[in-house]
Amino acid sequence: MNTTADVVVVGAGAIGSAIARELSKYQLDVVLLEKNEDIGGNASKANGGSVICGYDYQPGSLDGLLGVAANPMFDQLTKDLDVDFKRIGLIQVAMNEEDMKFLKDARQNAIANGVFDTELLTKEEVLKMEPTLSSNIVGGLYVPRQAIVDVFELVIAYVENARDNGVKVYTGTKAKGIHKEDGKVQGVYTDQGEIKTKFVVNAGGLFADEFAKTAGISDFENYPRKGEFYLLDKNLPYSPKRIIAPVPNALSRGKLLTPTVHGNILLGPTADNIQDKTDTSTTFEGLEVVLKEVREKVPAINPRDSVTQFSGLRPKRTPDEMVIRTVDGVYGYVEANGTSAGISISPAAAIYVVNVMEKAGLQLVRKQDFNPIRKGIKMFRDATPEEQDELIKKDPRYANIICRCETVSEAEILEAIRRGARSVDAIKRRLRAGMGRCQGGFCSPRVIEILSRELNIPPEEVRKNEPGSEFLIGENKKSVGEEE
Amino acid sequence: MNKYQYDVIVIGGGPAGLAAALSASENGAEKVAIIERDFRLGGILQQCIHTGFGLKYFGEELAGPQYAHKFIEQLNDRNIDVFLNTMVLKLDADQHIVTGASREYGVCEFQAKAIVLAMGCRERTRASISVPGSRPAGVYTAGTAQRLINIQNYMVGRKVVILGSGDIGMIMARRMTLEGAKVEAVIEIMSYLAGLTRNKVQCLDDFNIPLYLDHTIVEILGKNRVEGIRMAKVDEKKRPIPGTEKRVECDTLLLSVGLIPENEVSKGGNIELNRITGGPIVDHRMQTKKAGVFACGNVVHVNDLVDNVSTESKLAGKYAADYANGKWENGRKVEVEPGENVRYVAPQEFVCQKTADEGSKVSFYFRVTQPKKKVEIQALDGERVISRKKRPFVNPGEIENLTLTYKELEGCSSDHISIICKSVEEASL
Amino acid sequence: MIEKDIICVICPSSCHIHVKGDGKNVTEITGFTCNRGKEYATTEYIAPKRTLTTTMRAKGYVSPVIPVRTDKPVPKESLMKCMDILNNMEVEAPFDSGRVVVENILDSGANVILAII
Repeated sequence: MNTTADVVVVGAGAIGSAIARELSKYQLDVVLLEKNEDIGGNASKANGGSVICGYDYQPGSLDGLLGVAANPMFDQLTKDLDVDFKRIGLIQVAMNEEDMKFLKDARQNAIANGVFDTELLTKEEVLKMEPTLSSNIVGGLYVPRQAIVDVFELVIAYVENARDNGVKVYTGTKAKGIHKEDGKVQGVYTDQGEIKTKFVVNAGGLFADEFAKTAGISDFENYPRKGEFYLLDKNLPYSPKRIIAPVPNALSRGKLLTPTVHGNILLGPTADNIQDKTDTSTTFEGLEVVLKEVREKVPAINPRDSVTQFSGLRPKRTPDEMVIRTVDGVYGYVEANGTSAGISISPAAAIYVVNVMEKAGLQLVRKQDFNPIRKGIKMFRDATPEEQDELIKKDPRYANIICRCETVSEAEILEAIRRGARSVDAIKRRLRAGMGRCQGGFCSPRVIEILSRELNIPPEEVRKNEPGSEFLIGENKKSVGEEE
Repeated sequence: MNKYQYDVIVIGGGPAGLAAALSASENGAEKVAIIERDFRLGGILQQCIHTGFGLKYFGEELAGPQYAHKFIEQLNDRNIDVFLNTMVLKLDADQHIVTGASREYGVCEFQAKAIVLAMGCRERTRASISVPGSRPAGVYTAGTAQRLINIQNYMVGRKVVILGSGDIGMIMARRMTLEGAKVEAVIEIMSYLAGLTRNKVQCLDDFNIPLYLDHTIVEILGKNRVEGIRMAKVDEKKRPIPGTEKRVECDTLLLSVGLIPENEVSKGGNIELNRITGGPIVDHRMQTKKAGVFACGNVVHVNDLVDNVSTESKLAGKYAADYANGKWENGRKVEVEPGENVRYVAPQEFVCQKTADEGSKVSFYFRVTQPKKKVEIQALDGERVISRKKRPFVNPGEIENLTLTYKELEGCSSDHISIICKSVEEASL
Repeated sequence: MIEKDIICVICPSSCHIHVKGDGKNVTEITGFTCNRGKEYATTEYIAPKRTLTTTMRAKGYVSPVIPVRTDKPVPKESLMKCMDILNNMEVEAPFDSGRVVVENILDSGANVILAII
């Protein structure tokens, strides 16, 4: 591991990864640290999959500003990074006259945020655009620039591109604390030793407060607000074409119906403050509430069409606001924390943070050879039959289809491992192997064997994700004479 | 790209595909091919090492692989091509073109006069029954665990709870016990056993594994690996009863909560599926709604005995051969629908045949919705009872059948008949 | 007197057969509806037997283990002991369906044979 760096970024979720990539445009030695076994953070891996546009934020708020600024950046960004992105639009629906009044105010709020292209819709207009919606809907607000993105792929792409441009990325490495002397950052303590540096970016999400405290910064706390989701099957006849959102309540935006870039539908999330920062369990009550509320908008929704359920933890912050700041008395420390829309604001937040760092004294000299382009793994399923034939002739492992639900071959799995995937979940997020209808029933025994072979580890050491999540106990029928 | 021409192509080399291919060849199809994604034939029977197969079909009690072997060795006498390691990517049901990816030959295009779909089924997952809790390693569907243990020789855990009293779950309860694991419980949400009584006796009672009917799992526990489950009794609406929760320590949860016909390829080919079975709508000749495309085995409806699969699949193979050889007739359609206490019927249609012997028989297979004792099964043409038979008891876990003759079917006044199952007292009223 | 309630598994009727005796001899048996059921319940009462199906380690086979079975039922109580014996052996070629790999296991009169594709 690098023992020195110009900048250490703590946390490889959407915010940290985008910052690392932004920094890699400059002549700097950058290190990106992630305590989990794979990059992607926590909340960035378990969210609604949409790219907000900031229309409904408080005008003047930082995350509103960043949301509005980031949204238009996605077209070029996702093209450069080879990430699936669709600008499908959103309709916020009104169930009664009070909701309708809210939407009228929301439109004004959008204009105040610099989002001019929203439109109020009548009931007929809404139902014409979205015939599967309930006839109880009385009207809507159309937000054409709201979009959806492949959230796993986005963060993976940020990191791969950052790495291609010189950033050193260390997973399974926990940043334990800040080495501060004379009011200045001297280094970052990790569980693999200290990295000497003058600048540290705290993008630690839910755990940012714990990291900040090590430098004596204790004016904020992070706490988890759990959001539970249903993921439904692809190509369902009742799927809306756009994101369908309710009128929000005090705690959250409410439960949305979000088509995904792959054709599934995401339902949710709930919003429940909890204590345990690692509790991503789903609950009976949470899932029930999601179902009840989304069925008010699309009555045909059937829970049997669910492919999986999961929950994510919003990294909330008290006092409640998104913050990007430096701190007096800890020169070199930059904090980017408190958003529930990390994916959406990431490209703008990254530039903002680097601006802040420059003002704080970080020397920025642009690289001449920064390469913004990252190519994703060539997917067999996306190729034409002729291209598929070529791929197989080049490498027959392209015809060894391991995941039949999402048509993923052994060749792609090997490429994912080459790019850093070390667990079944890491492979899943890069290729969708295990995300289909059978949820790994067919592919996981085969993926376990491939990982065992490629990583040269016994099959009982192959993990689902973190250490402790091994799948197997071992081989049966030990050889004669071997102890159990 | 390699192109191949066949009279009949069978997708899937498990018990259904094997029986269909052999039958097609025996019934005059000259060029027959089986397309199989695995490295050898046999399908799911490769991992079903337990016995219970073949009692009806061969009069012997065989293990799964032995049953498959009896079909596979017959292939040698027939001119049937087998494409192993070949995954079907696409079905063009109108042009009768099957596209597959073969490790040996690259992308292959198979042109057929008739196609038989025999892709079998897959397992229902945790998600489709929304079990709450964390998402640790150690949750498996029973079939996946079966493959890991019986083919790859890996042990999936030491302390096991099984959700669902389907046959696969019970078989795995015994299998894991024999390999040294402790099975703490089999938990079933209904008031009755989902699988065969024989399996309860030989897999659970024999090993003192408790069966909890009217129970469900309300939470999966464990951060990275399963640490336990919480179970609760359920009421008549199948909702957990508060206060009855109990924690059971385990490191593995096996799910045996149902099978679903595997119809991704069929959907891609725009084959119309029956909403309840999840499989293609088929007529009595096992033809789907696309001319020349047939289906048989678990891809049509989930069977309980492989012996029945073989019988149905022989039909599909024969008719596929007839179709390929131009021996085909279309006629008036009579739809066969599920009625009182019947969940689904397969096949779903009868097509009147001028040239066939009116004494020919058609078997309709079905499952009841509720277990019942002393019943009469009836086929109804409006109010008129066309055919009836009595049974001492029926339950959803075991497939029933009713056989009608062509004459009885063609004599229907309406185009819809229904199959019902009422108690004998009600029937005699 | 030893009484046992036995559910017959010969056919789906699943008759509940009640058997009375001294454990080794049957004095009364009721509830069966056919002779096969009567025979089954009698055997089940006196000396229950089961067919063992399992896998054994295999050298040079297409997978690490190979399916085997007893060609006749063996005493129910001996199942785990049979597992112990078989788990400590390895099977080699030829891999012919039906080949005997263990003769007369535990003196039961049953052979363990390859039950393969």
